[in-house]
Amino acid sequence: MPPIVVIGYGNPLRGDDAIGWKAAEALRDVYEDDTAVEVFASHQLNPEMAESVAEAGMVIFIDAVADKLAAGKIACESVHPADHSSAFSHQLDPATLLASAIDLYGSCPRAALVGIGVRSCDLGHDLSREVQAALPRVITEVRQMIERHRSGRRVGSA
Amino acid sequence: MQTVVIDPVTRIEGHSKITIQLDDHGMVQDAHFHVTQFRGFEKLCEGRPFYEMPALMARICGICPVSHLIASAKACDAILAVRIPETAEKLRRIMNLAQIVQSHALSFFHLSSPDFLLGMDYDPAKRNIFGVAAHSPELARDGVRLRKFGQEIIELLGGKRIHPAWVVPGGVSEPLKVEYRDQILKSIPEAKDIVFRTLAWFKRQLENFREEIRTFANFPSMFMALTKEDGNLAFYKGWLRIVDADGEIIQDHIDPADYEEHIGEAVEPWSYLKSPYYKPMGYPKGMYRVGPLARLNMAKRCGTPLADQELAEFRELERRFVLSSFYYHYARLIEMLFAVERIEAYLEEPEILGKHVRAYAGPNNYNGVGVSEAPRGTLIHNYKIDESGLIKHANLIIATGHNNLAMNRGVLQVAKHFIKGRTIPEGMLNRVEAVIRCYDPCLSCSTHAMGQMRLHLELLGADGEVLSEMKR
Repeated sequence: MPPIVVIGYGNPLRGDDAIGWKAAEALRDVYEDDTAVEVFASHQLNPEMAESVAEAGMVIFIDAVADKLAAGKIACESVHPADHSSAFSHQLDPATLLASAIDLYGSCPRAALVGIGVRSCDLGHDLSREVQAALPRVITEVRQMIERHRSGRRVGSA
Repeated sequence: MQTVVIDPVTRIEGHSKITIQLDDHGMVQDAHFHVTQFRGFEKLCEGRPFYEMPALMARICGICPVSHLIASAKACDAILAVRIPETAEKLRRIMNLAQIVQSHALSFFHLSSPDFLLGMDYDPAKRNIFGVAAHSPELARDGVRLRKFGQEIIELLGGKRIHPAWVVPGGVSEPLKVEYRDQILKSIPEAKDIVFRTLAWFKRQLENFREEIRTFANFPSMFMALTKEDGNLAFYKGWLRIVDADGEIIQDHIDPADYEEHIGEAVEPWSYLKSPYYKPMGYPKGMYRVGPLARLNMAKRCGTPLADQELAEFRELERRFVLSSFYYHYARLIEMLFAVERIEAYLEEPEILGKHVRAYAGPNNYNGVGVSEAPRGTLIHNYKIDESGLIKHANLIIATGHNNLAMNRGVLQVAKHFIKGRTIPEGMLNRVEAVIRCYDPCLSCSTHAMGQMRLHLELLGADGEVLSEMKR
């Protein structure tokens, strides 16, 4: 079975923006002995991830969401490959990364984004109270998505 | 008089704009490359303990944090007055070379190859890495693989690919693990193949860019770089050398610690980027270029067999020094080949697995200078501390800054050649941007600032009226 790729990204020095990074670090511990789950904690998505994405059976992105969600709220949605209108250089969003996986390696898997509403992305190491409280729920959500994928059920519908 | 404004300049790192001034007849009269962002890292770090500087300075940039780590750690070594262990120096050299590979790969493949593959006049909506992937997936894959090669080395050595904290004053924090050495060595053949393939492809493309080669910042200037004692290519340690456009040495064996005696920094009201110049020649006559073209122009040899073969061919491009800045791209490919070869050589030395990787001392000097060659050229960090080891003053001269005068002159040269009259085809404006991309400026570094890539080009009339404007 192709591996499952989890990518949590954000700036660990910008308050709640670090939620994706921190969730990925926690999930890396959870799946430390599971070679079928590859976890990336990163400042941002980058083109070098395209190969891992193309080879994956499923990709789960974890990212902070500004404006659209209340602080600490979690929303999951499917992600589809973007069209190619962006003048991308070294900075990507999930849809563009999926598109680059298709362009470069001919395929991209089913993908979902786990978004977490933020209180503040000002400078600082700490998550806000709401987002800190959401962290265990994010971990649970991603673990359930992985289990659903392994049992053949769809992801992105939580 | 009219002015063209390109704002923001695209496919570079940082915020900038270009203004092109036209006279009453629609002919280019003047042009400027403005850097419009500011952060002021030199001020931010005042009052911090000096040993925090490498980790702090690495935050200047997400593209070349390793370069700042290296120069900063060397400045701190000078404050400690220690000679770091040999293994630590070699490990730092490997990381610096990995940084050269990943940064050059980003510049060549991701930022500039759309122009080489698709052409300067191609549809701008598709003139990007996706356009490259659509036309030549292998070229795009090679770019991704080569950058990944450099980043993985940085990650294996430093624990993470961006802002690694492994390089510390006195050496490095951890020795190299044998499994990491083996993993890197395993990836060397593929990296070499990619660079060879790309060199062969790029050399075939040169014929299609004769006009750009002739006009892209192609003028006599001085060049500056570190060189080894034997005159060979240096990235980590060496003497500063300054040569003229004919290759004659103007000044050699400059101790990098004495940089202030030789390099001045001018400030212009229209840009946050300072303009360093060679002091004995004055400002702005003391313009010089740094980076891949400068390094290859003045190095006697690279010092590795494959890169030396390529260097010999590179030298055939022009009768004396290679002056066209379009060839910065070519030089980047040769430097990547050198870096891969050199990384392999260091890793094959048994002492690279040595456990003694750090020297310990308290501050023994109040002043420390660290100089290394970053992807874009000579990088200088200079710190002064007080009795408590707190930073009193910091001065950073970044590679992109050294090239500021040359970039401005290059923009003017290209604008004069390609822009005629009020109506300007997009492809012509792209050429004005592309001359900047030859230098691969990193504006976040050079103004020590953060931000997204933007380009703003303005075409101004004789009366200062904005006639045409382009924003991306």
